[in-house]
This record gives sequence, C-alpha cells and structure tokens, in this order.
Amino acid sequence: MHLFIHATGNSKLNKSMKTNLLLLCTFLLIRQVIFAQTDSSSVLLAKYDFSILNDTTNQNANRHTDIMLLDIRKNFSIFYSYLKHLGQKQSNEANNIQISGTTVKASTRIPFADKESEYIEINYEANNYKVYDWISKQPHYYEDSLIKPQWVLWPDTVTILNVPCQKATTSYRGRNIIAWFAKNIPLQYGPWLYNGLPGLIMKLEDDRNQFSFICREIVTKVEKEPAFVPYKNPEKISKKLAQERKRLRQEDPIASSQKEWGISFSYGDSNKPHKKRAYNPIELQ
Amino acid sequence: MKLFSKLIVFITVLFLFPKLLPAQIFKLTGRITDSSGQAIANASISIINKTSLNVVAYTISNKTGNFSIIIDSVDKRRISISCIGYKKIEENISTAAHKDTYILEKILTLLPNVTIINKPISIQGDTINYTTSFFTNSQDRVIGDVIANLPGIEIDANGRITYNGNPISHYYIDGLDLLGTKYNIANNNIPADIVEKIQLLNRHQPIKALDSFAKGNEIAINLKLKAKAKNRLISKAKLGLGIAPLLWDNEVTTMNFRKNLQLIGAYKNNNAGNYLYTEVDEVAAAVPLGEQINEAADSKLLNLVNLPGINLTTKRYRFNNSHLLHFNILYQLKNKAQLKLNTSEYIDKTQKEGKNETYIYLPADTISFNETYKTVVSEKKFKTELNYTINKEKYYLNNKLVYKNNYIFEDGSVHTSQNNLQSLVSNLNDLNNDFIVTKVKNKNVISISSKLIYSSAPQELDVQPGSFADVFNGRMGFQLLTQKTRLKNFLTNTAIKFIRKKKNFQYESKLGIKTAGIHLQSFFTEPSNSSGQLTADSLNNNIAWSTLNPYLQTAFSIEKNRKKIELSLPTEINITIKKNLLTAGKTSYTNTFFNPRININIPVSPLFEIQAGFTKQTDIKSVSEIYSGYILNNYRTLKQNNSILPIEKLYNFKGSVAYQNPAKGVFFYFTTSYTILQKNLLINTLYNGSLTKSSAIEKWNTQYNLVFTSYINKYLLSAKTSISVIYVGSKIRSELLLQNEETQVTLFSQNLKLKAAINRFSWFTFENTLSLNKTKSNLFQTQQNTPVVKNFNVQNNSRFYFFLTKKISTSLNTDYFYFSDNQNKHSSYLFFDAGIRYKYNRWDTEISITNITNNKMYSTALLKKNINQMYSYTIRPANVLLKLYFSF
Repeated sequence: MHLFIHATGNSKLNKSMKTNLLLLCTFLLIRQVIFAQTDSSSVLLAKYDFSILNDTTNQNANRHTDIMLLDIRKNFSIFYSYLKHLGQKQSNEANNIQISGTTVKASTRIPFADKESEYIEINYEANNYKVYDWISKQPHYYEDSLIKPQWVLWPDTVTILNVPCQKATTSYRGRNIIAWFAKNIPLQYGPWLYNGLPGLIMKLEDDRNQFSFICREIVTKVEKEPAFVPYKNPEKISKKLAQERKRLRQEDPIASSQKEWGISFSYGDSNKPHKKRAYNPIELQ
Repeated sequence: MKLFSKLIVFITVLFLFPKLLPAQIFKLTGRITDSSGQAIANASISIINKTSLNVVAYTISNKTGNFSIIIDSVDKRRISISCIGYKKIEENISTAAHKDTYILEKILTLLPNVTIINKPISIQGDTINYTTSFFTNSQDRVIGDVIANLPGIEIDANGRITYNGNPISHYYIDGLDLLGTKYNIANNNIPADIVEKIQLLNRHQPIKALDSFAKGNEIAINLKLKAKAKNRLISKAKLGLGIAPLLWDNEVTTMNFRKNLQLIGAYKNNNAGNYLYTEVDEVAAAVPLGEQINEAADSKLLNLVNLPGINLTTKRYRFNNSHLLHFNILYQLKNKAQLKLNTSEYIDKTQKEGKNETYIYLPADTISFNETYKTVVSEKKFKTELNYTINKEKYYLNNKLVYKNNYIFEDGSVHTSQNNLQSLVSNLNDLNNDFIVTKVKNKNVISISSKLIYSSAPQELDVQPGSFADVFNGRMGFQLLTQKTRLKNFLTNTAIKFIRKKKNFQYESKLGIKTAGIHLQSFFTEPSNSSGQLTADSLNNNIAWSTLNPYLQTAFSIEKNRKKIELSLPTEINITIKKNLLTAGKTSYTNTFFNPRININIPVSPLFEIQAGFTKQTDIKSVSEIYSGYILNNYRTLKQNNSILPIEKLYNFKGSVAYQNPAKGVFFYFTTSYTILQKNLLINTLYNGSLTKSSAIEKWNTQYNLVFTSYINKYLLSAKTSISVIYVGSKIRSELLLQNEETQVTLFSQNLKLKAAINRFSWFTFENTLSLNKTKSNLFQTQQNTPVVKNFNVQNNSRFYFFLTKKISTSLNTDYFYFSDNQNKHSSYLFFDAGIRYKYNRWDTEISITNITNNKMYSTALLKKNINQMYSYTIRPANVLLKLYFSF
C-alpha cells in the first residue's frame, strides 16, 4: 500500500489542502486496516483426512485418525486438528450457561478430546514456523526455521476431488514422501510442514504406508471463519523439550500427567510397570 | 599427427551420433513485480509441458522477486507465473525473446471456484465411507433403500446384504450392535435422512480381544447417524386404507439413539399381501463349509402339501391378515458392558389358493397327477433374546439366551381324484443359551464356550380320508388318519480353546465335548376306532438317541503382508447309542472322523485377491430321520427308514478371484466350487400314483456338485448409474433309487441376471432387472435314457419414477414373466402397478394401484431332480391403496 502525496510547487500547504490531506490519510489508513484485515483472512481452507499407524510392528493395528484443517492466509498458514478445535469451541459455548441470571460453568465432556492438540503456524515471509501444544500446565511453543523440501517432479497424474494432480517425491525429516499437488491451484502449501510445490498438496503419504493426508474438502469462498481456538499465553521452549514432552505424553500418559501436572493416577496392578504405548511421530529426524 | 587423427575421428563420431553431444540446458532468470514495480516474493514459477500439461520444473521467487530456473528445452514449454491476489501469467518460452521482468496484475480472486464438500466415497484403511445424501434417491424413504444403491452391494429378497459376493456379518448403528442378525429392522425403519454416512468395514473383527490375532474376512456395516438424530425420540407412522376388498396397511415406529442407549420398536399390520415376518427373521451370514455345526435335529417332521414360495413378490398372491410387534433395546452399562433385549411377536392368518401339476420321471415310466389347494395357515411366532456382552481389548464375554415359540395351525383341502382334507398343528418350542468368555494375556488367548439347546416339537396331522390303506387298514378305505409326533432335542457343546501367536505364525487348539439327547415319538390312532387307540407298535416309533462326541481341533496359520495360509485338523470321536423303547432294542455305534481343511488367501494387490481351499467334512446327519416305524410326512408321503446311522462325507474344492475398487466403482468376482458328497444310505422311493413311500437302504452313493458364480458391477459415480451382471451355473449329479431301480439324475441350472439403475437426473430415475433362467434335468439308467426335462423362464422388472415437481412424483412398475418347457407348455404375464406421491413437510401421501391389468392367475414351474411341478397361483385382484406417512 502506498501513500501518494502529490508534491506541489508551493511547499506551504494551505488549510483546505491540510484538511484534504488529513482526510486522505484517514481514508487510506482505514483502507489499510481493512486491507490488512483482508490480508489476514482465510484465502483457502483445505480439510484433510489424516491417518497414522502408531504401532509400526503391526500393519494391521488400529490407526489414529483425525480431520486436519489447513487455513491458508496471505504469507502464512495455520495447520490444526479441525475436530479438536471444533470440540473445544462447542465445549466453551456449552460451558457458559445462564441459571437465574448467573453465568455458570457446566462441566461438560469435551468432544474429540483425544484428537491432535498440536497446531502449526508457518510464516512464509519470515521463513519460519511455530509449533504450539498444551501438554503441561501452561501451553508452550517452539520456533524453528522452515526448510523447504527438495521435491522431484514426476509425470504421473491422478484426479483427486475432480482436481488434476501431479506426483512429486522427496525425502524430508526422516521419511520418503509421495505427494500429489493440484496443477490448477497454485499455492505452495500443504499439510503439516510440507510445502514448496507449485500447487496445493492434495494427497501425501510416506512410502511405508504409515501415515497419509488426503484432501477431502476445499473451500475458497470462506464465508465463516472456521473454529480455531488458539492457546492463550504460551511459553516459548526449545524444540527438543517440546518433542520430549510430546513423546512422553503419547507413550505414557500417566507418567506425563505426574510430571507435567503433578497428578498421579493408578489403576490395575500398580506394582507392574506400565507398558509403553506405541508412538510414531511424522518427524523422525 | 596422432592427435590430429584422433580429433578427426572424434568430430566424425559427433556428426554421426549427435545425441552424444552434451544436451542443451537453458537457464531462465527473471524478476516478478506488480504494476508499480514492487517485487513479489513467493510467487510460483512453473515450466509446463504444452502436450501433457505436466509441470516439468518450478521455483519460487525470493524476497526481491528474482527467480532462476534450469530447463532442458524451450520446445513445447510454457512458463506459468502465479501468486495469491494476482492474475496468472502463462506464455510460451522463447530464447529469442527473453524477458527480464514479469509484471503481475492485481485481482480480487485468483483461484478456481473449487468448493467440494463431502466426497461420496472415501477410503480410510479398511473402512469405506459412503455419504448417504449422495446415494439417496428422491423415492427412497428408509436406509435399506439407500444401502441397495451402494456400489458393490446386493440385497436379496430376504434382505440379506452382500458386498462383492460376501454376506455382511455385523450391522452396527453408531458402533453398537442393537439388532444382531435381524438388521432388516434397521433397513425397513431407520429414515434415510438421519444417517450421515454408511461405513463398510472390511476385514472386520468384532471381538476386540482377537483384533491382533485374527483379522478375518468378515465385512460389517456401520451407520453413522447425524447429530440431529441423536438424543431424541424419533417416531413415524403410516396409515393405509384401500379397496378391494377392504384393505389396510398401518405401522407406527419409534426409535431413540443415545450414547449409552439405543431403542427401536414398532407395531405393523396389513392385509395387503406384505410379508411382515422378514423384518424380524434372522439374516445369517453364510457359515463356511467345515464350520457348520449340526447341533439341532430337524424339528419339523410333518407338513401339509401346499404351494411353495416362488419368485413372485408376496403382495401379489398372499391373502393375509398380519400383525407384527417388535421391541429392541440396548443399554450400555457403566463398566462398558452391554445389555440387549430383542423381542417380537408375529400373528398371521394367510390363505393360499392354487393348483399343481406334478410329473414324476421314473426309469420306465412317468407319473403325473393334479392337485388343487385351498389352505389357511394361522401362525403365532414369538421370540425373545437377551444378550449380555463385555467387549474389551483384553477380555470378551458374551451370553445369549433365546426363547422361541412357533404355533402354526394349517388347515385346508387338496383336491385330486377325490377331495382330501388335511390339517396340521405344530407347536415348536426352542430354548438355547450360548456363552463364551475370552481372555488375552501377552500373545496368548484362552477361550471357554458353552452352548445349551433344548427344543420340543409336538405335531399332529389329520388326513381325511385316510391314505395308505394297505399299511394302516388292510387295504380297506377309512375315514380319518391321525399322525402324532413329538421330537425333543437336548444338546450341549462345551469347549476350551487356546490361541498362541508368534510374529506371523498362529497356533490354535480347541478341545471340546458335544452331547446330544434326541427322543422321537410318533404314533397313529387306530383307523377303525374313534376313541383314539393307537395302532400296532410296528407302525409307531419311540426312539431315543444319545450321542457323546469329544473333539480336538488344531489349526495353524501363517500370515505375512495379508497373504495367509490356514491349515485346520479337527478330529472327533462319535459314540452314538440308539434305544428303541418299543422293542427294548439297543444299538451302539462308534466312529472316528478326521476333517482336514486348508485355505489360502493371496492378495495380489490391495484391490485384487485370490482364494483357494479344500474341506473334508464327515458327519452323522439327522439321526431323527432313522426310525423303524412309519412317519406320514404329508397325506401322500410315507417314510420308513430302518437302517444304520446316516453318515455323510463331503469333499469340497473351491477357488475364487475377487477385485474391488470402491473409489472407481468397479467390482467383480468369480467363484467356483466342486463338491463330492458321499452318503452311506440311499433312499428308495416307491410311487403308487400320487402316493409315495420311501425307505433307506445301506448303500454308499455319491452326489457331484459343480457351481460357478460370477458377478461384475460398475458404478459410474458422476452419472449415478449402476450396471451389474450376475451369472450362476450349476450341475448336480446324484444317484437315486426309484421304484427299486438305480438311476442317476443330472440337474443343470443357469441363471443370468442383468441389473441397471440410472439416478442421474433430478426428474427421473429408472431401475431394471432382467433374469433369464434355464433348468434341465437328465435321467439316466444303465440301459436306457429317459427324456430330458427342460424349463426356461424370463423375468423382467422395471421401475420408473418421475419427479414432476419437488413435492409431486409418480411411479410405474412393470413385472413381466415368461415360462416355457420342452413339453410345449408356455405362459406369460404382465403386471402393472402405478402410484402418485405428494410430499409436504413431514407429511407424505401416496396412492398406489396394484395389478392394474387385473391378472387372476400366475403359473410357474419348479424342477427338482426327477420331479417337475407346474404351479398356478390365484393372484390378488386389482386394488387401490391410499397411504399417509408422517413423523412426529
């Protein structure tokens, strides 16, 4: 946005010109604000069916599934669990109920509480990203620079959601990835940290069939902002600490609760060590 | 000089082989700006192959708007530059006119308007999700109508659902199994508009504890309900009134689906021909050969000679007065256990009228006779089932208690050369309890099961005048013959099973014991004595069978990447004692059976699978069919089978290939099965006019059975059109003893079905099923051939729906039947039904006219081995019915 100020030969501006200039600046400022708001509103929403195999020793084991939402805005994007945030939003709305003129919190079970709590904000202009999560008493985030995957394009094509797509592969963060990008949606975005293709990534999976993202819905005319509940006052921590907390939370929720919240649970035979649950993160390196 | 020569050679080679020249590469650089000269960062620059439209290279502009890209050729290449908020540039690349700067014009919208919501089919692992709204046609009311529209799904006349030829094993509603095998209740009552998705669960394992042990080949359906369908009472009703004569067709249904509770209850009545009992009848998945357990002896020994069920819809020929009441509730307790109650009561009075021409082909003769029937059947069927289940990851417990009572009173006349009256009263009671508990520890499973079955089936058959006078009254005619029977069964089956799994190898061992106590009593009242005195002991039966059957079943399986080999080695000892309580005679039999089975599953790809298998099964069959006295099956069939224990040995070879691609809507399977069935008893059938006497003699005989089935289905998603071709061919060759002469009968049967459904247009839908059936029976004798019997019939059903406006629609249904045989008999019938429907909010009104052409009779033929029977049914006259549907 540029402010155009037409210089006149007479450097002394008369009163009416000052008023006009003030009005112009006000108008342009408002326009800038509006434009800035337009800048931060969603350009495109892409929903993905996400599926991941936690127990890699058994291909037939149950997979964790979720619906993830990629909210693309100008120069940045947010990637989060649509179900998790929808459930949280519904719970927040249900929590505040009026009884005899007093607002009370109803203790309602939060729907989809088991879905992914982590969300990612990518800033393409600054070329970095932030990963937010809430495992301990206070939500946290870590920051890291965005490394673009080195993609190899292939001539294979497929149609997904009536959109023609082309194949690309890469090795990224410890996994060999096969992706299909939309040839006529020129956005370099995709699920999780995958980005940098000439089109929106419509489908992505690893070569060991351990996880996949498959686009199930695209909305270009975003009339209603999607349900997204950002964490308030997150503390900044290191990536290593964040990943350790995540691993412990997934493998041993009891130990995680004891460590992060100071709450101890016990069930079954407390003398026997708890068997760790399987955990298979997308990022392996 | 040497160097010069080498240079000459090198240049010559390069001229002759230009491909050896290093390939030309082009470096394309430039800068992206907007119209004011401002640099645009993160713009996409793609190099596109003009022929294939594929991206061959790409890059992204940096912070200063600059880019640099290396390409292999400029021929047939275009450059495409795009960025959010700007108009895309696309132009040919030319080395001659190289551009430094590309200026993008700002626009408000850039992206194609791609708003796609709810894919109709999505696949996640072994689960296929179908969006209900996509597959619901305007004429569909209940979820069963929608399930029938799904690609790869077929629903037969009894409501049995198959997916690519495999019957579904479980039917869930929001993950809970409310109805068990009575899923017709859901299909007939749950409104289509409250279901969000229909899920098909492949490789389903219903027992969580066995999830990592046995991913079977079971297929299940799960209905995912919409939020609006939950936590409230959903009630709907139908009121129907019509002529002629006075007709009614009413129902009221209520349901409630909550997280911990599910309930469906209904009351229905009609006299418009609809057979209501199919709704609560068990729709069982087929049990694989070798796993069938013959646990209960046949409980219905006597029956009336009557019109059989045929390929015509019941509303055309049943003159009924039916009432059905059922109630189903599932409650999830705090410890995640489930308590379920399913109860139903069915009351019906049906009249059937018709004729029958029977031809019995014998080695040296053909017997024919005619019968005219008029029968009234009154039945009361009550069933209640109480189920308690705990299904956890390490522990599974299930107890099912079932009580059934069927009271049937059949009364009617059969006119042959004289008028015969027959009546039959049956009061069948059945109580059984099925218990299983399974526990998992590390990689081991231990399971204990116990089954108890008690059934009692008293029957009384009266025939006037009495038949088989030579047997019962010294060849002198008499007025009344009364046969009374009572068959009681008490069966138990208790077993303990171990499963151990190590990596890809699994070992199973089941040790169990079966016991059976069967008591058969049958007697005739003395014809010449009206006080009900019994006939001589030689004509009657009072036999008790006791069986002790310990068994050991060992099975091994290896599974890797879904490829599986299973080998099963069951062994059993059968000790049977037969006591004749009339003669105080006692006979005991001891047999040992070894029944190996092997099954191989090879998934060639995720979509394509090959299966092959072999089963050997040796069984003691139907001990209650062996008796020294007589049993009058019906007024013209008298049986006496005084012989040894009936043993059957079965050898079955099967193979199949199956392909399923739900995303592309392509399904096909081909199966073939060859069975050799050896029996130690051969039934000798003696015909004397219409009367039949049969007895068993000890002689090993073999039946050969070859069946070939194929199915192809293509569903065009965008056109909402489905086309299916189904072919079943079979050849059965069996040995018979007719009139004391041995003979062979070969029955060939071929059925080809073509189905098409077009739901593409919003104003019109069309469904058509064409069925061609050919049956042929050859009777062979050692010395001479007997004429072949051939039947051919065609059946075509068409349904048209026209949606005139959003509220008004009309329908037209035609049924065409054609029959001919090699005896120059033929018949053809055309039935027309029409309807008009008006929908307004929650109200739905329909007027239907059935049998517009007012057909009075319908004839068809049934060919079984050496007997060909031509049936003629009295058809319900044309009628008009006004139905009002509403929800509240």
